[in-house]
Amino acid sequence: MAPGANVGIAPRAADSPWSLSSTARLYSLCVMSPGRSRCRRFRTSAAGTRRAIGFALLCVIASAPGAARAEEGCLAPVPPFDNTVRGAIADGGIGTSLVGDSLMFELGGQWTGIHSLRGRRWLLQWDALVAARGGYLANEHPYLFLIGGHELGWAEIGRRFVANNEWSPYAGARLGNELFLMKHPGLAWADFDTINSVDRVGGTVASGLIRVDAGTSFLDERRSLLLVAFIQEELHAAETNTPAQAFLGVGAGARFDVAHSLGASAEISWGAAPERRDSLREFTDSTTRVAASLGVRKTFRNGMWAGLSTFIARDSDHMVYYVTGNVYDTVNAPQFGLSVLYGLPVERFFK
Amino acid sequence: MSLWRSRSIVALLLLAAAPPACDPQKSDWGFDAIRTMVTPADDPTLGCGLQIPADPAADARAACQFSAGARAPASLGIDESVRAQIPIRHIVVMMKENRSFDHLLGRLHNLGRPDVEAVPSTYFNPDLLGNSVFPSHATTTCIPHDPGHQSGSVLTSINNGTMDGFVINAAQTTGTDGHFAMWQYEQTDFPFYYWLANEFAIADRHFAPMASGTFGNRNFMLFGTNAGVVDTGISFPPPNTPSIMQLLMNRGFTWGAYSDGDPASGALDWGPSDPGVHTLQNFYDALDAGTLPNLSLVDGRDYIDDDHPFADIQTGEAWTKAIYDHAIASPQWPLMAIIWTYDEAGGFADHVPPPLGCQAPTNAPSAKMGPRIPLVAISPWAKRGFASHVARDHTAIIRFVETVFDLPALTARDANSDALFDLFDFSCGRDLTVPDAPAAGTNGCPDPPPLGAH
Repeated sequence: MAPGANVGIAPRAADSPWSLSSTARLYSLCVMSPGRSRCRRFRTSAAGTRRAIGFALLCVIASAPGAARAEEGCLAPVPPFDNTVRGAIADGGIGTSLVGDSLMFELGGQWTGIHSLRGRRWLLQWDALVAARGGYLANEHPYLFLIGGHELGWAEIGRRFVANNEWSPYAGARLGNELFLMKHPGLAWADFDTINSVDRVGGTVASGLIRVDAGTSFLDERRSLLLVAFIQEELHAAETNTPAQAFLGVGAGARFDVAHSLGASAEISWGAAPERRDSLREFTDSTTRVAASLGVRKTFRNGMWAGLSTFIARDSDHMVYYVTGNVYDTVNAPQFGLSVLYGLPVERFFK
Repeated sequence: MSLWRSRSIVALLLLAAAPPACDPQKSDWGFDAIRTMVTPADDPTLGCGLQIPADPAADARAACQFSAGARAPASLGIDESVRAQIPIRHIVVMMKENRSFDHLLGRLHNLGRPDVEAVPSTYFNPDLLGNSVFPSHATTTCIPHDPGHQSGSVLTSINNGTMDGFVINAAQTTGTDGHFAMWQYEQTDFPFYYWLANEFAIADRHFAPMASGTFGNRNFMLFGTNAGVVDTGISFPPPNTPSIMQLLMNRGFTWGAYSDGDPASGALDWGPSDPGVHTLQNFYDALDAGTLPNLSLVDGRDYIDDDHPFADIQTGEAWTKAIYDHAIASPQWPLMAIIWTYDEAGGFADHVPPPLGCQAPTNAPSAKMGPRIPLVAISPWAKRGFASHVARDHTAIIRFVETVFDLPALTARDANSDALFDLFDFSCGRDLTVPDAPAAGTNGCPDPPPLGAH
């Protein structure tokens, strides 16, 4: 009996391979055979009824001798959608920001993907990356070499509310963090104030993210598309010259995946940090941040993958000298990054 | 859609998304209002007769007891009634590049100014071979080498206060023997500069605010802090850093940055189209017409007339003379003060160990002042033939601006700084006429170094 069925219209006889049950809004049609069973739900609309009849006919045909394909269509469990890569990575990228231009490289491991769970009711997305990182920040003469590590981890679990439909409303929640620990050889962490600001590039750069999103999900055997709007809290830890900030914001994102082949995502967001009051200098400062990112990943037939990602973020400040009423709206130089990545699947190491 | 068409659309989208100027590090400082602000009319009652009181807070400042936001009555002992009568409404900061006090004006003591700090006859620097290198007369006014002068080099040069690392630093950073770091100039080289130093009020204890190069030191003059910038490069302060420009605008006062090169020597990444930025001709015109803003920041062209090696300093001296000539003829001269100084010592030797700033103790170069640099106050109110021995740095210049225009301190550094007032005499009965000035020197650079030489 299908889970959740509360009214049995045609209770299954002991020897019957069929059962049909219904709620006010859904049919549940189950077919049983030795060792395998398959239940599907259909809306009690005209379209849902047509789909239910089609499914039943498929299963009737499947009972005929030699109808292997129909049997497969009827009895096979819904395969999970998956577009996952896992293995060693090497990447390199350029960046620019208020503190200078950077050229950074990474070597490490990544496990990232999207996977459907429980008959496509749930979608799990994640990205876990740990890498050694090194490169140059061109903010002083001659140039500043930085070496250290990069950790990225986020996961989002989302619910597809109409699991059996290709298009479904979707809601999810994401938790994430990112940490860069980038040190100049021979320079203690406490001495980062003895060199040009390396904030957002070097030293300890830590951020966290809490997000809830909602939108729509398209999912079939080969493709997944997520279109969401989100609300998020983005936290940035204090750095050598930059105070800690928390941006409460909104945004929109899109993610398209082809199973075991292609992944692409795009995102824009806007966030505002709480007003900071400087009582000594008699002003308040409210920072807002706009950001956009784009990423593409292609997995090749041999399991290797290549990725390209870019982002741009820009902080603006609204300063108000509250005694005189003077206002200064400033805009920081944009923080920009572009990187390419190549991945080698973990299976290659364990053949 | 053809591939070509789709690529064209992508290219157009990228162009549309690009910043308007092709400078990825360009910030917007929010100073658009300065384009339309009008300089307030000068108070016609301002004039002589003011007595700046003795400095009752010097000890408290020395102990770094004042914070950002402090005003002149608290940290300088200048009451509002006195402050409001200071007969200066137009301050011009003419900050040049990279010359130490000993290097440019060290021989002033021996040229009829015994009140100015002398270079001790025992002062020398060892070179890389261990030879003693004593100060000597420079053989050219266009030195073809630019000794290292960022934080590492300055700390090497200062050498924990022994001030004997200049030659070694110059040798290590120029591939020469470094002896030129001990070169000094004389009145015959720069007759106009020496005349200014003799005629007006000179400070012989003025230090670069931090032990490093251009950007951080100039930031101190604008923000009271290096704003995270230690060495000159392509790192810039965040545009929301509170600045002397903001403080002036808050009170309805104006400012302008005048240069045919990079305003503030590039420290803010400003260009000709930025708000408040004007050409040198605009500056002359404003002087001639009496329309100067309340604060003018005037800079020469890099390596041409900003005195930075390998420029011919005589070219910079002539540039300075032209400004001076316009200034003394300006209808605003009676309420004007010109501060002629240098951003930092540029790797040239000076024998006086710099003190610590009020951020000490930390390990940062921004807490350690750099070597001495010349500072001369040029004004009808400047004391004539006077030498001040008060130790201070560029934050004294913004403290001077803050005091004149009743502005709060930006940081603890300017809050605990002196404000240059010992260089001025506002009493009546003084001769305010200015004698004729000599022309700038010539023929000091028979062999100009090629552009790009180091």
